[in-house]
Amino acid sequence: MSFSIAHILFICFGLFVIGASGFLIRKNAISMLICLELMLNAVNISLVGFGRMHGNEGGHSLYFLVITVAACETAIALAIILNLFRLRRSIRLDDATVLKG
Amino acid sequence: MNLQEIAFYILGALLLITGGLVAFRPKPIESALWLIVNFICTSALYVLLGAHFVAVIQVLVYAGAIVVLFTFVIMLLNLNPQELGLTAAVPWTSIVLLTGTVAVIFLCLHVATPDLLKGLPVLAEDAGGWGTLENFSKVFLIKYVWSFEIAGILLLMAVLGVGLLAHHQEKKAV
Amino acid sequence: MLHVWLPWLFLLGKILLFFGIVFGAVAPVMIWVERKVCALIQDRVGPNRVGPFGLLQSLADGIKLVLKEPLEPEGVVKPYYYLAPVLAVIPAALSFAIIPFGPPTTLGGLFETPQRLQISNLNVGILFLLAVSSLSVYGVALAGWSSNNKYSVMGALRASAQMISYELAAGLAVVTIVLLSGTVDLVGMVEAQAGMWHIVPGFFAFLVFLPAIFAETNRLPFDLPESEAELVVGYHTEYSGIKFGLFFLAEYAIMTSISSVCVLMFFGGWELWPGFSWNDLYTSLGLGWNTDGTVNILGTLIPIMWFVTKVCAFLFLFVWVRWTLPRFRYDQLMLIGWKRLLPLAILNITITAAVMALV
Repeated sequence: MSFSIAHILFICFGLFVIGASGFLIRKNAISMLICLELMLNAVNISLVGFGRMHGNEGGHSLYFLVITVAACETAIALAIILNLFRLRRSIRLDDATVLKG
Repeated sequence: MNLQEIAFYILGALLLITGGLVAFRPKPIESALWLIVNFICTSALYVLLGAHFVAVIQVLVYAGAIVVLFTFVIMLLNLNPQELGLTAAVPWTSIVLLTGTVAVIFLCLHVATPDLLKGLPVLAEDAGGWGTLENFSKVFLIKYVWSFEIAGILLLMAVLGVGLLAHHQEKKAV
Repeated sequence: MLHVWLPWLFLLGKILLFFGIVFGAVAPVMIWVERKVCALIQDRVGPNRVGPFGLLQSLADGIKLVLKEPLEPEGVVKPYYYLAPVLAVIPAALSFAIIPFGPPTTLGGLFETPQRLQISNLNVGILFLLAVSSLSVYGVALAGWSSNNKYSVMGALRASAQMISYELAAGLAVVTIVLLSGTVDLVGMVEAQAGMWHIVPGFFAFLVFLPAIFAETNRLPFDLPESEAELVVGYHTEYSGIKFGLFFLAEYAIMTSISSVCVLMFFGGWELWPGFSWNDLYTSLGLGWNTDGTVNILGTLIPIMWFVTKVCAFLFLFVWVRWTLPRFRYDQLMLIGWKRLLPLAILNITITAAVMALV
């Protein structure tokens, strides 16, 4: 049998769903960020798969940009979490409710 | 069943299993370590697709730098389970709801464009020069050079931002 | 029949040769060399009891390490404690997958076309080595963190920070060499050095690369993380016996692979002399040999020996520097990595690219 884009998309969807459900149940910020990375990884797989399907390198270029944005966002989010930890000694996002309306 | 198909099924199963381990292990350090395994399996999947440069970048940047950052922060914070808010149960409700949503979207797309699942063969044929370093750089650095430069500026801004944010405050803010 | 199995046999032979030599021969010999050279530099004799000239000292050390009581301190996080040495050895072993130890050869006519003496000919070449060395941070970090010991954690964090800082400088030096060679393929890099070795145009890249690889392998003068005086051996304080032996093995293996890469990138790999290749030597001596090995397999074996000699010279340099220079303080180390080597590397790339574009 020959492989189609559906096989890769199946993996991609599976990873994304797993990452999203992990993201929704987590209480501490670092684990949420890790599940976010999992979701971004799933999207990257689909990008490269579509690039292979169409035979051009645009998928790779967008992959590069997604990785760049993921790296920047991880670094800044971790810096924010460190600051949150310094203020409150806790990284549970349930406790960060000061701005709650 | 040739070697490529076996490899693809094994890698797919590994990806989903390690993804589940990442998302549902209570301690963040275990999540981070399984995330490394997930990224290496993803890199292997890229090699199977013929995207060699992307595979190496996945290990270099994602598994070798971003997850190192996560590991550092987890080790530095060194929180006890009280502060972490551990969850040990697999959230079957969330998984079922999300899978259902995605399946519904997929079915709508299948009805709207009937040949979605009969896509072009992806693995069965040779990639030609696709995915090699030369072809990638020809496209990325000539056609998408503005994106490349903007990515560089974005990284510079992130470095400056992190330097400012993580700088140890000498005087404590009240 | 042999025709079908020959490529697989060749691959198996290469893998066994590499791993046999590196993990079976290099580590013991390096231990002996280290101790003897240390002794000579410090004006004493060194090991001379076990075997002639103390040559069996490494064997004795190995037996001691294996037979030691496997101590497991209280409070270590057991899975990571046992995983960390494995995580240290795996990148060290993987890094040998792309290193060619000789010219492409037909092995005396066994193959029709010259086969490369690399385990695998990746499209991305030297980038694979950068990727694999960025994975070697995990062994260090996990070892320190799982050991339930303040000194280990400090040593691990310092070592990991040092390794990721100097990876940048090393990568940028590699970029300069890729610019000069026009390819990321290691065999292509050696072939591009036929006229002039890259040490001449890439001299500043070498100046950046050499401290970077000393820091990557946590060798003096950058070995504060495992310094014996300050940090009680640092991240592998709580490791004893064969687990410590694995860390040691990983360090020597990665030293060997990085020395090989340094020789391939800067010193012409297996080339005899810039401008005077082995084929020139063979024709000037009147032999009809070729580095392909088609006429006589010695035509391939001699460049391989020359390459091994150069790598041994580099390993000797590692040992020599270790026992000569004092170590850097941690803040000095980070300053050198970020404020001296990184700007120098970037400036080097800019100037090299400008000169190559204009000339």
